Amino acid sequence: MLQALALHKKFGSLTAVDDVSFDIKPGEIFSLLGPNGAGKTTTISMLSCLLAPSGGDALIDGHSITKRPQAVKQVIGYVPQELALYGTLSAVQNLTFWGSMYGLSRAEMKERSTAVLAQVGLTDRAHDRVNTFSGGMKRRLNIAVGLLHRPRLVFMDEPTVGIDPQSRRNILDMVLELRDAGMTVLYTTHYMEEAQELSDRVGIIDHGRMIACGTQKELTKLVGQQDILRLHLAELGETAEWLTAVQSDPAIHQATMQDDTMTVTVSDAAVALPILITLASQHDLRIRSIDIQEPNLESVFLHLTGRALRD
Amino acid sequence: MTKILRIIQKDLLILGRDRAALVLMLLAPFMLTISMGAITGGFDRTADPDAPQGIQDIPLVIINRDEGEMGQALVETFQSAELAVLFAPTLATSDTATEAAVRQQVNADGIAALVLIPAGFSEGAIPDQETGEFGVVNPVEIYASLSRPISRSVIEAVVGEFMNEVALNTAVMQVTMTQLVLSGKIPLDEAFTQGEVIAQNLFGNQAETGSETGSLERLLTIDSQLGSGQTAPNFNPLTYLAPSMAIFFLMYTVTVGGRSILAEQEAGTLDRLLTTPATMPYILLGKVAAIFVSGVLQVSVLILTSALLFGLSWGSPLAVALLIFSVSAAATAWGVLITSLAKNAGQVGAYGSAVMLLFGIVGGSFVPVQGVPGLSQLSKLTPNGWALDGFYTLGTGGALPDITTALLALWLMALLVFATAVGVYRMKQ
Repeated sequence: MLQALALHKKFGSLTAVDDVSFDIKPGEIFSLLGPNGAGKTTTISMLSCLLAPSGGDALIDGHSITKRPQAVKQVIGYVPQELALYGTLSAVQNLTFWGSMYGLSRAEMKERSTAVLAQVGLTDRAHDRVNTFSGGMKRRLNIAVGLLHRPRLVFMDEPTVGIDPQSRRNILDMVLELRDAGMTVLYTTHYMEEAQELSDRVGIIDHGRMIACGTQKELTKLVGQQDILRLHLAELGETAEWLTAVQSDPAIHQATMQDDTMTVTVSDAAVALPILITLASQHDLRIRSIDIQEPNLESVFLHLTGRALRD
Repeated sequence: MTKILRIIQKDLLILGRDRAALVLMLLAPFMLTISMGAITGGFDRTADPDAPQGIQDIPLVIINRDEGEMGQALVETFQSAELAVLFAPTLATSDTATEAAVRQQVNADGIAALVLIPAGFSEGAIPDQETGEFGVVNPVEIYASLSRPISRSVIEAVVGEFMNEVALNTAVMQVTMTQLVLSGKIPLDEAFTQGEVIAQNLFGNQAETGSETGSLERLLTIDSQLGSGQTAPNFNPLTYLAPSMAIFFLMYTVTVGGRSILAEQEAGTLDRLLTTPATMPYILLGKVAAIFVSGVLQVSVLILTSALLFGLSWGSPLAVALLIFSVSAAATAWGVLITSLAKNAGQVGAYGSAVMLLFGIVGGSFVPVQGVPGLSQLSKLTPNGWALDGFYTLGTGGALPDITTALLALWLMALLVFATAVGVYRMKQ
């Protein structure tokens, strides 16, 4: 369905996307996971024909984004990170306008508007002005616009940013339903949990480069049989010295510190735990709680970059 | 084409729901036209095309304590047929009780002013028959209501002009008689008698032949002089005011339209539009067309309203339509240029307001600038200047051929300014 071929984008001297390549199979959810500023939105903007690549190309349903952008636009649906809606128009008026931009006929527009409003659970608010909607409702309508013309491939750029947990849950369920209905989804996020829950395959992107790509199983294999320990401190103290001491211990693979929490990758939690507690004690630090996690996308990112996703 | 129409439709719908914009686009120019029309007397002309215009029937009371000719002449001036439209004078008795009562009336704003001609006013204005000396000058007092500054100014102008006339005539007669006596043409003891005869011949005949205007004409010019000195037949100030306000606020409308282009960019809807099969040229064409259509609708509504409510006649509907299209095109081009120069929607608003005011002043939307050196030429750089010329011509009986120059100038302006805007836009890309 989609093949990104060494996509490259430079803004002046800044390289935003650096030879990114990946492919998405029909009917799968592919997530681009990476921290803010990693190059996810720039990548999706090039794939949506919004930005011209500085190098490379991508094929969508066989059409080149650089040579046949009009053909590409017929295939894709775009759900931007911003709420790209007209606040003083009603939900139906928004859908009618966007439908007309995709060349839908009047009858198609009516049928599709009704369908997508039902799909995003906004049927009863169809004729209300968008600026009277809650943040979650606006997000759902934002998605509805992207689905209006029955695209075969939908780009969703961080569609859950800034909304409440319930609306977030609704949107994640909706994305899964789209996949079940046969739609292909390219989903960008910096939330590991979302990528983990939704994705058939994940591309991990950092500093404009695709550093890993595959199924979650494939990716966690990169980490090996490692455990992730999270140590939450009761109070802050000599944390920098403690971190240095932990990082220099041979039993510890990686360690990062954020706020009052140290995240540590180890081969054997049973061996590492006494060492960590002893070192904390030596630096007058008291540990409040400890979590032990199985390898996940967070640990993959940590393993590959030496940083947590939130850093 | 359908996409362009949909963009126009969407933008008009959004504009139609922007109450603040609607107030400034339609209500503000309409209210300003009504207010200025009321001040200038345009509505009296609306009811009766031959009715007098401007300030009229200023209620004033005259108390004349002078027993000479000059006091009487001043009273007659105020009561003259030429000033009948301007003043509604009442002659009161000269006792002090009446004077006090009249002053109270002025204080209570019941009348505009009291004109008090003092005793001995004539002696101060006309030289003594025996000695040729002037008596003690007793000035006319104007006791006017503070709340009627315009009425007070008009009364002062009339009295001032009367006094100038008297002083001028007296000076002319003194010089004439001195020359006649010095040259021996008339003996000194007959000088006064001869002077009266000459004065009668010089000034009295004018009054008898209807050329009383010799002295009153200048007073009457307060009301009758329009523009180049010709009295416009049946001219209604609303013919100028209605289009001038419509075009002044048209610049606001095109600014709002221009702002919407950058607002779409800021809101992310422009990016989303660009992911649809609609291309950038189509989207921009749709946006610009929406600005143009909203301008046409605004000016059409205001001009139509002026015809229906104020009874203004704009002549050929085709000529009016062409003029509305032309001025909207020129204003749209300016709106697009402002947008191309601005970095964000807020800047469009700021630049737009400045240009709107500048064009309003220079283009003659507030005060006619025809005949004003410099401004008259500068006004031709604005849509306001050409459009007002066109509307004035149509409103005073002109036809389509009479506004051809204005139409061509507006379209030329539209093309040049739009081309500049495109150039600026491309430079910024």
